[in-house]
Amino acid sequence: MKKWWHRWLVLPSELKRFGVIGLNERNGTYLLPNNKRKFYRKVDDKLVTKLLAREMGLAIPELYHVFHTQQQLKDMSSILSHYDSFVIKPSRGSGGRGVLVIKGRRGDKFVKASGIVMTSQEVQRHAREILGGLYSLGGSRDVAMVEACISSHHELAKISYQGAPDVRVIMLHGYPAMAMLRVATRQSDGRANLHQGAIGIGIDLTTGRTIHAVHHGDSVTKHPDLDTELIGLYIPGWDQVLEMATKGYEMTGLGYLGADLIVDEVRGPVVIELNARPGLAIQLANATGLRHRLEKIQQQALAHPGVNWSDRIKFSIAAFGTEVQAAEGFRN
Amino acid sequence: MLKRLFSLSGLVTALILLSAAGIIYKNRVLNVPLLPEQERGVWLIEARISYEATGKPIKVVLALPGEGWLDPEEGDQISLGYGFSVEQEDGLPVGFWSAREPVGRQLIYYRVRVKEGAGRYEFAQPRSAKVPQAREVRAKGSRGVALAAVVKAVRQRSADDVTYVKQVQQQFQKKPNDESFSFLQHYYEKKYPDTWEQHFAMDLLKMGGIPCRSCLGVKLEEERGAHRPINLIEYYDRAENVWRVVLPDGGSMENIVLWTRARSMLEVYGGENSEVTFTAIKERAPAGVAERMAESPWWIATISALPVSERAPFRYAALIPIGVLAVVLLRNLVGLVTLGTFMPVLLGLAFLELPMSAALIMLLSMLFGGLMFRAMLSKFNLLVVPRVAACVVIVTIFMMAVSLLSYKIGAADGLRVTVFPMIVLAWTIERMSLIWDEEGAISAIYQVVGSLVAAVAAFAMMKIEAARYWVEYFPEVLLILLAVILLLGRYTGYRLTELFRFRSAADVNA
Repeated sequence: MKKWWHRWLVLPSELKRFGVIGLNERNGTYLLPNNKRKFYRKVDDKLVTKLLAREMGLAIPELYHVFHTQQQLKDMSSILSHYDSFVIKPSRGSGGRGVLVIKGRRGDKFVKASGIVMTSQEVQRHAREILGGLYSLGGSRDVAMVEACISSHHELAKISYQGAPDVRVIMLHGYPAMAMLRVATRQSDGRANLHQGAIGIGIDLTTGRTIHAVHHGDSVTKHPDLDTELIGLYIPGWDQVLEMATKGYEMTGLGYLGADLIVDEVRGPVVIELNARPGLAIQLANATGLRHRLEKIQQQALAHPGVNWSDRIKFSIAAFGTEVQAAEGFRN
Repeated sequence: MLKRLFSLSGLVTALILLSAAGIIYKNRVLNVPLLPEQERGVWLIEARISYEATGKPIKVVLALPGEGWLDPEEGDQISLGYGFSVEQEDGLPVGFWSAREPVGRQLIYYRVRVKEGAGRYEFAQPRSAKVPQAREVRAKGSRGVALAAVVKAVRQRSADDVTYVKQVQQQFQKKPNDESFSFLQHYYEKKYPDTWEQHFAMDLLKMGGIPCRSCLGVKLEEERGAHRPINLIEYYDRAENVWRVVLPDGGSMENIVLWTRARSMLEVYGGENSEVTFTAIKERAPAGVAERMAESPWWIATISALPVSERAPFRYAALIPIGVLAVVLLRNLVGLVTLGTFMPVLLGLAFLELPMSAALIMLLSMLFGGLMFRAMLSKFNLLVVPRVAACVVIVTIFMMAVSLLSYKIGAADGLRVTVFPMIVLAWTIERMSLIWDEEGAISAIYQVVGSLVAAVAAFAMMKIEAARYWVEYFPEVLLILLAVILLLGRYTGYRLTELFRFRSAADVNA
């Protein structure tokens, strides 16, 4: 039953019934006890993440080059001349800041994803700003990474307004707990941040199909700009998505972890970044609270420590599959 | 057992027990009341004399309050190695300290308790004494001409001694754009830099035939901290036969007490660089409590044993944990988003020193000005540290401008804008503009409003009279505060704002 107050808020008792967890609970119960401070560096510095992922054999966007000092930027144009498309990003940026996507060339000029043309001086200046710390938190010095430009799988590209959709998987002790697809809208300006207006779409862990979508906290079924159907879509290479996300646990040792992946047209899923403090909007996207799942995983991990990644995925698929999803969802 | 003691609940219990023990001991044994005095406030005024001893025998003479409203013997003094006595000099009480050969920087404290509103500002002229006569002002040349012109204007607009004085005071308030007045102001400012208003006003009174002399007062204001004596004037009202004490510029005497009718406050024979400053703090406990606590062992005595001038900043600092608690409550229970974790506490402290509305307007205008400048800077793509440093400089200049402007308009509050933590302000501007760029104006304004709400809440909690009383006389409550904060650290329930954030959970009908 929808009550009059639901227009503005939902009661704590109702949230509890839905199994929704809040920030205090995420931090106090799951994040702080399971994530050791010393491991944070492995995910906060994207260059470190990349090198570790390469060692683990995870698919990542190919790293072309790293600029460490301003002097090295002098050779920039000759280094970049080998590549038609690439991405320049800061190693310690957050929320997609400072990411420059070059899709192609026009003569000796570069074409951005949005179609705007940049001169090589402008690209160089962007890299200089990254090195100076313009985009890293606290303004500390940073390094600029140049990596391959991912071309999103056409099945997913057709539901996103610019910007590649990414898949986020949240894990506890390396067991996938929940997953969602984030697609950009005109309002989110190509970014996949939900509070900036991107759409969050929940994914059924068993089938890899989308089940429910939210935009600004409201349930939707169609993309507001493109009018394409958002529900029932299959994430290409879903098994590999789960495999790579789950291996992120072995790689970082972080108990509560979010993995962000993009599905490439040719290569399939690649790991973009890992996140030690993944947000809670995934619950709204799935219309399911995290608490039951996290508690189940906690029990399982205590009872059977040291389970390998494929068994962990099997457990999650069995425990949080289609029927469970249907039974657990928010209901009044 | 040991494990239990080190668990959080064990620690919290221990803290609360310890604190309760202290409170009960003070309340039962030392008779410290649990709530502050409701009646009219009592102020504790402390004079702090400091001078440089040169190795010669020393005599220190400090004018003491007297004249019927206060018994100088009631005061007490703290000094090391001095003989002390209260004597009369020209019918006025003075404190007299003497020592043979002190060396180095010397400190002497004298303190006295004053009931609010007990001060006297009128004194009858004894009938036996000669009728006072105004002393002649010897002013030649252009100063004489200018004085005569001002006196003439004042006299025309007055009927008797009282209205004459009022007119003189008005001259100082309005600062008329009059040639003779500006000339004289310049003259007196140069000759008596610190006391020009007093000397100027007295000369005008004397030329009007009104007998007058200078005297000194003390300001009863907690936030002011240590200050020099206030220059006052007493004039003889010939019609009523009384001496009246006033401020040269006619300001309110409401929280000023007349300390002495003597012309000089302090004389030090045999020492150099002598100075006396006054600190007044409001006593929230009945008389005797502070003394009983000061005589207890140090862990009971706490801050009551310190000299008043040391106590004043301490009382202030002890409020910070209360503000911090407010921020913890708002962030973790309510879910308010603020710029910088404890920035609101610093703002709340600034609000304590200024009237609320003035503080808010000043703060918002400074944030706005800073943001405009920051927007200008962002074109240059500066690195972060120089960019914030530039913001600090701008905020400083802005503060100077606001101070000057409000001084010119005549609002003294502006003079204290320096209470705003400038570095914090600059970082706030920086973070706000980053959020503005990244998440849009709404998000930035939302966070600024959140910070202001938290600052006002912190201010309101620090302003509670009972809270101020407790941290001063029962600092043990800080342990309870700590216990509460520790417990809040383990709160894993929902935040108030999350009830709104997750409201669409109720929309889904499975």
